[in-house]
Amino acid sequence: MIINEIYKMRVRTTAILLFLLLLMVLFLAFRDFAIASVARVPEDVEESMPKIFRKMLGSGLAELAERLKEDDFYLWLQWLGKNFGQFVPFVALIISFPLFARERERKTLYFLLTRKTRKEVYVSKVFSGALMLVFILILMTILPFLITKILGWDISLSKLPAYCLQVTAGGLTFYALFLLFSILSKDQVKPMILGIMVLVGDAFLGLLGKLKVLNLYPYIMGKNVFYEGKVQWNYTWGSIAAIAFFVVLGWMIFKNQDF
Amino acid sequence: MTVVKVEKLHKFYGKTHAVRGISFRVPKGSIYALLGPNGAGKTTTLKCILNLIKPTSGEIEVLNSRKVEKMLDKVAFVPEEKNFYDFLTPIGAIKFCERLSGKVFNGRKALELMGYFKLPIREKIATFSHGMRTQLYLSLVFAYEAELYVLDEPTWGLDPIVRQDVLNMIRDMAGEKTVLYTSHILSEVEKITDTVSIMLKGRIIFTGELDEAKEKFKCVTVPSHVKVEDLDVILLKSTREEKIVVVKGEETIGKIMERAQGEVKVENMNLEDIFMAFVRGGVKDDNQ
Repeated sequence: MIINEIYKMRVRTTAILLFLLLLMVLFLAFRDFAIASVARVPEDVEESMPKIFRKMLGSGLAELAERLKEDDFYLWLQWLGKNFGQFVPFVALIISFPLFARERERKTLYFLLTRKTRKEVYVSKVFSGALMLVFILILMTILPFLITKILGWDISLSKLPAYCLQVTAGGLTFYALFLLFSILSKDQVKPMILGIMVLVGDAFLGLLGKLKVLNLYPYIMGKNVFYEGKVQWNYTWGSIAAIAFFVVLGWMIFKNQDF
Repeated sequence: MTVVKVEKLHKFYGKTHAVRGISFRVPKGSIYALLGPNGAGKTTTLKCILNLIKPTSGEIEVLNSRKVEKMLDKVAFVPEEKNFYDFLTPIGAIKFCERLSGKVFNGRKALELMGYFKLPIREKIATFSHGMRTQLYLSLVFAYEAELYVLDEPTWGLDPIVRQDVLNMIRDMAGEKTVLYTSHILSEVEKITDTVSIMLKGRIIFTGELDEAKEKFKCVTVPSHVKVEDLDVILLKSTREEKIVVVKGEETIGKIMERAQGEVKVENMNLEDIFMAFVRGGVKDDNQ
């Protein structure tokens, strides 16, 4: 049954992988251009930027351009912290939203539910979706490290396990939440819209005082791992608890649903 | 032996009472039809039996088990919406079912049925017409080595020739397999069914053998001046010259004959007439 579920996801998974591979090629190919672009920004433009953007830049564009020349920093900031990192929750959304909602919308769930128990259907769907997501996330975290290493960049692999752990835990947290939307919905549009609203909302949480703690993006992007070389265990355990909560809640809903 | 036992089944959707305490039993090897107009509760009943819908109250036993989930290998279901995965070809659908169900699915039989229906086995299901999708679904479901086949409108959207083929297939199952099915096409039900239950507004208003129903209910035509409305009849039609009523039992017919002094025409009814009488007039059956 898991093979069938993975087979159903093959187009989505391939499309995501192709998109991320294209991003990776651009990230590798346009390094010099990226550094030059940052260095070219005039000082007055930097000063006229809104406060929030200046805060994000930290010590300024000139220093940023200088740091981007460091292989480790460029890989972290431009790949994990930007190109790939920002797409992790979207990948989770694309994998999860059709899992149950599409089957309900197209009425194919009847076939599954009269051949397999609800538990088997639920477990196989949740597990196969998670498997594909973890595969994509781990692959796209590791691959640029390996490629840049082969290209001769001065890259340390010591932080890689920590990056993998945080990307996976963060991605799975979003996945488990979006699964709930998919279970609750009779069509595919609602879970997708709800998911996008959550992603936009979560990004905005980063701008708010005490709610900032709920913003998972810095965790997924491995900010602490890069600067402190440590896993953020409070977020990791929190993510695991959230995943367990959403998956169990999803099961409680699914096992009592009318189709 | 009883294959499906339904006792006092109730289903509420919010405040809507969709199924109102129905009870029936489907004997082994029989073809049992649930009939009724749209919204009667037929599909809800089938889905409750298959655990696709959770009953509000009541008891359901399938193959002597109260947990149909334990019996899924012995049950096959054709839903009202016969949608299979669009991205597959019929060959892909067979492989899908083989992976899903293992030995209880007979891939060779599915392929034979698809060949019989002349389905293009290497084309994507997405390109299929409604009728072809139905044929594909039936090929897959009939290829399951089940003991109970639950079929919700199995011939809907099929042309008359294919419909007849499907009816023959269903009729051939009887004896060894048990079939519980619903249909709007009463003439086809009449051809293959042993027992019918007629549902109306969530209730079963008649259950019985088809022959018994035909024996029990007669269509009686009397001159218009004869008063029959006070008797246990359903008025189907009234013109200046005559009244046509549905009558249950010889006793009432006798009373009408007395009043009409012989000017009475008694005719047998087909299932469609009986069904219309029940649905329009709500004939009360003593068994319920």
